[in-house]
Amino acid sequence: MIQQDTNRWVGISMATFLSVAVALVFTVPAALIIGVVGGAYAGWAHFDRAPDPDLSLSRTVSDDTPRLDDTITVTVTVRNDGEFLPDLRIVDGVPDAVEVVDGSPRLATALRSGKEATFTYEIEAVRGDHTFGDATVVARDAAGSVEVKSEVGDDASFRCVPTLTALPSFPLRAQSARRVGRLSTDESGAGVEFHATREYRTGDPLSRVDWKRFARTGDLATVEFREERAGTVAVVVDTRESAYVARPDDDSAVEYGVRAAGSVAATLLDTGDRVGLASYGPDMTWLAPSLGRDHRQRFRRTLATDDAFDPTPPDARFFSESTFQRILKRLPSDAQVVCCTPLCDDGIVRFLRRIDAHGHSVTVVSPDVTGAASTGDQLARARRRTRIRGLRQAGVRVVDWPIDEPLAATVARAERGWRA
Amino acid sequence: MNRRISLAFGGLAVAYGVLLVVAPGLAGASATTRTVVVLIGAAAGVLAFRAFLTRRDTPVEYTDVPEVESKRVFPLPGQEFTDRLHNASRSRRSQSRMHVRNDLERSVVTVLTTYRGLDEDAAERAISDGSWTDDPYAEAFFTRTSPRRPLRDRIRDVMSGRTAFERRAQHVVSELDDITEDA
Repeated sequence: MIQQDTNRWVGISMATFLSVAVALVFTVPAALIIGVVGGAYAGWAHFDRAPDPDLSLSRTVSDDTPRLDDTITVTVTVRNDGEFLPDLRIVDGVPDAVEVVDGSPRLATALRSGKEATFTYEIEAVRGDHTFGDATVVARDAAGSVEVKSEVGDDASFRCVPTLTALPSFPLRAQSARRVGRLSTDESGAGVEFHATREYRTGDPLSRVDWKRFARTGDLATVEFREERAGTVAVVVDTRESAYVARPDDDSAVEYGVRAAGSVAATLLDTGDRVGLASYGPDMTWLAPSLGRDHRQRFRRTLATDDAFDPTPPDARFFSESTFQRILKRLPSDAQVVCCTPLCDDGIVRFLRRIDAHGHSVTVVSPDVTGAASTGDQLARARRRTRIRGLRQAGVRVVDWPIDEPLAATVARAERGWRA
Repeated sequence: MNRRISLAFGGLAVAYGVLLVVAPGLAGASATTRTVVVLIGAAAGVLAFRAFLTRRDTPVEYTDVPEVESKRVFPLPGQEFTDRLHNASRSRRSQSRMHVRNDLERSVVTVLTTYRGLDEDAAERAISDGSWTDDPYAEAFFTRTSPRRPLRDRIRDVMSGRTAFERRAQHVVSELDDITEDA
């Protein structure tokens, strides 16, 4: 609780003395009346007591598990458990990442002892766990000469876990001798893509016999297909403070990265790949690659609510080397990496190149939050383009995602380019 | 001390007033009474002036309350450079300008090595001799020479209100933007 004088009535004695002076010097008795009024105000301001607010607050949230972008109505009730408060102002502790879309989270009122006051406002649901902070309370005496600041709150919260929206497809990197990809191994086996023909062996299924060749040459041959294996993928989201950049009045690049990570993971999990999750930031989190319904739910929940993916920037210091080592240590040897990053600095490029150099194929999904309004915007855009080109020259696939178009369209365009 | 004097002064004035009411004859001649009253009025005027000075020098205090309606605003990717360029172009300190110049030079080297296939030494030579660009302003930013330009452009530069340093830096950035876009 902090108490301070407002100094609102400092100088009121000027009115008293001035009117006395006028009354005496110019013999105007009526002026003394004004002096009496001024003196009364001065005495009131001087002797009025500082308030001692004793309040309790309760919030009701219309939906504590909303869907993304849902509107939530917050009703705040304040009860005065102490003495009469003639001038009370309250500002509710709206969570940092949340925007008030209707009503006001503020109240100004007088509140008698034992009485309640209620106000409501509406907020828009955003991803994550959101706990309301303490409301700020400012109480003044009747004269407004002293004010007391304090806080009061409850533990109201809501959780928004967006659904994972799959893309039509997300191509993994091709198989090499040291890596296992989803679509193209160099070994024959069960699959749909033609690999080779070989001499028929007893027991080969008749559906695999190359009958055209038999009709042409009379030799029995068996068609072999390229074996498909489930890929292992770690989706890494850049959550360093430098990634919390945005276009004016828009979500941060981390938020776009989280959305991209969810879409990529949903796509790959749908096609039977093992998908894990990591954050590259001060608060490193790791979810080992796996598949199945439970893992999908775990992935969705972690991406939505883990502190590492908080919608607001981290306060903790970031250690790039130790974070790199921790991620590298956890990556399965056959894992590919899909990294969602705005590519706003060179540190992330070094990280990606080192991951690639350790034998993990890297694909970057990069939301473009740069603009062109100022010299700095233009420079940031040119630097980002240069990073993308450098990564591509080093063999890293980059999906350059203009955030005003759907990710699916960007991925489809990139996929056509990779095939060409 | 001041309060004691004021109190004593006030007490005397009140006592004199009571005396005038109770025993007008004891208070002396009416001319003397009038003089004392005017003196008291003058003293009240001085006190009023003092109160005015106190009011003038005392700010009204308000408790700051948080702005909670809007969600957090994030910086633009190039905000930091924009601010730095703005400060450097208005600063006489050569160090802040040098930082901007070094920063842009590193960016030009990276762009030239990535997009034009130069090695770092060749890129630095291109910057030194100005061959990396056709833009005389961008060239002049690193060579620190005056760019040749028509009189009309010179007048326009003067009228723009931007410093030569800021104008040339903007041309360097525009050139980088063009090179990376054209590719």
